[in-house]
Amino acid sequence: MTALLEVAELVKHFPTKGSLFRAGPPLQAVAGVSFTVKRGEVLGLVGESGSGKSTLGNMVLRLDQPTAGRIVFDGQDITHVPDSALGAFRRRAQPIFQDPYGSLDPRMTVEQIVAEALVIHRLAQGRKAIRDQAAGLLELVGLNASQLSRYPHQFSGGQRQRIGIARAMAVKPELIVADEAVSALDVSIQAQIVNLLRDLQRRLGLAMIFISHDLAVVEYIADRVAVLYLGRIMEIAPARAIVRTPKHPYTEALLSAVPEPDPGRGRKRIVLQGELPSPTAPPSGCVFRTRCAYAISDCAKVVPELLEVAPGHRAACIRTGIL
Amino acid sequence: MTRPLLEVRDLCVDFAGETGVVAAVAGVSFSVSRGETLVIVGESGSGKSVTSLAIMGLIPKPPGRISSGEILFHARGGGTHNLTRADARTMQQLRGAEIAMIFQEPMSALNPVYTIGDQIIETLRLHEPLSRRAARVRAIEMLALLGVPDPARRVDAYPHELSGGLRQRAMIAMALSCNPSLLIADEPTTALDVTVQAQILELISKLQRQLSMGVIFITHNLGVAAEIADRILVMYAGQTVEAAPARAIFEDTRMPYTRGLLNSIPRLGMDRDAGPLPTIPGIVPNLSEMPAGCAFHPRCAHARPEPCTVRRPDLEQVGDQHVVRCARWREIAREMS
Repeated sequence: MTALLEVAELVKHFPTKGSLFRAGPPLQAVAGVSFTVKRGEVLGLVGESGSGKSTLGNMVLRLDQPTAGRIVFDGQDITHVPDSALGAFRRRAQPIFQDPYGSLDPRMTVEQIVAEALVIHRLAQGRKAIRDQAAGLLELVGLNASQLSRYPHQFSGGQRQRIGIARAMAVKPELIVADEAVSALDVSIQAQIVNLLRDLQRRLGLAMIFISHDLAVVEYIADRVAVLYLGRIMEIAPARAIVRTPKHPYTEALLSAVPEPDPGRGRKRIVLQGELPSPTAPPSGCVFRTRCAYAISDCAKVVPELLEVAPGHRAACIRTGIL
Repeated sequence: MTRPLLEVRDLCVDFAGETGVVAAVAGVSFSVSRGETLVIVGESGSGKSVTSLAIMGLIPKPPGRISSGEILFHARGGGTHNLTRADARTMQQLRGAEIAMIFQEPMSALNPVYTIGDQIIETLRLHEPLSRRAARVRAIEMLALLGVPDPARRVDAYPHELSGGLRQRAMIAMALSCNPSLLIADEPTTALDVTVQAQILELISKLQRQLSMGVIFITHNLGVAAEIADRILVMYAGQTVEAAPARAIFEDTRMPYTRGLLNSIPRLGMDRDAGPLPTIPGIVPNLSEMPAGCAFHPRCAHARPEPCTVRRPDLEQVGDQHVVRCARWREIAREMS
């Protein structure tokens, strides 16, 4: 089966301020990332701030224009399709954002927020049809149809995230890009929203890119996981394999940093030293080597390729055997 | 046992809202000793941050006010202050020198138009008779202690020139610059990456041991609490619902709410085919629409009409230093075993 989404060698550079008359070195937010997402599949993207995961998500949605590379959606190359001709794609691929406060217009009622998408994409006509559909969508996400005429500020953070999900679902998308969709929520509410997303995704057969820095959440919701560092994929594998048999030292460090509610746990904690290197001047060879406990001199010389280490499991490390 | 550093007794904080006066904190008591870390856990709206602001004397008045209770702080000099009644001058002397606070968002505590060095130096010289040069040396030492790379250069950086993790370190450096005996940390790692969070948590425990500080750490994540707590206090709707030594909270959980919080944390290696994540249904009640009886009963799987919906439960002793606010804790323990 062909993939719904195929991303090949995607690159995004942002210009930086240099001296007078001369631009600074470009900030390489994404530096050659390739992956595919099948229909009904959830791909998790994990990494720290500055790993390029959000830029990647924005490029996939064509909210950021790639510097190089290709985005193919359902067989069509959409990399350079002008915005004016992207209407159908905009319906089929929907974002869910982190901040349910910032992404809902405070002056619109919930009905208007959800109906806006229906009207733009001509998915319902007539007041009654629109209202019925909006009511159905609220119920789909676990809210009450009686809340249609309320405003966003009258809802809690978790409920607002449900409204954001209802808005995304209104246009019957095929691909969802959820960027830190549960990160700002309290743990008990986070679990509710994760369950809702997973339930909708399965029931509607949606493809989803789930972006998060929380590996435990990603493992739960994703079929496959890509671990990003400085705009490059370090490791990509089935979710279970990423967590149980990581092959990249960075994945191992990320896993060991997940706080777990078990004070008696005798887990090895690898605290990464130092800071993320500047994306305007990434290290030579392996970009992770400056913080890697296993780095050897060869790591500075060779850019490691993303190679298969087990079926469906690829890692970019010349010392994969070390773990 | 030595005298605790801070004793909070039956603290109540009210806020006047559109719909009348609501109790954001409704009778909370705890104590913190030197060298001890107390973690206060709760969801948004539980009153955990208001409690910490009350200790710092930072409740915005109006609309807020401490309506009753005592906050006794035993200063290094030997004097005891009741912080609920301390005047502005006393509070100002205590803040920074004796009690310091760090926040979730470092930009809310750092001034964007001054370098981080200027801000640490200002704090130092406000409380200690130091020359500017000596204060600058101390500021660089503080940044080095906090693991800021290249501190002699970073001391002249503006907050926006630093990453989130470094900013957090700069804010902690500022907070710790006068060697306070009590540090209050309000969700200091919530906005950070897990890797940076791990660094900051290690750092706070290390500094706490070195400086023998008392620490009050506020978080909504019991996973984070497990990393650093000596004792844990769980708050719900402005009240303590369970408090115990850290181990007992995890291994001998009594309050259904605490269990719900624990279960809803996603863990590595969960079997997702086993079904949805356990959740606590519903949301934290609005302070102006508090349910009758136990505040948690509408969300509690163990609630019974009698007594949960009629009588507000008292805080009961269930073990060594372990208290819980649940009228049915004995029956629930039997049901669970």
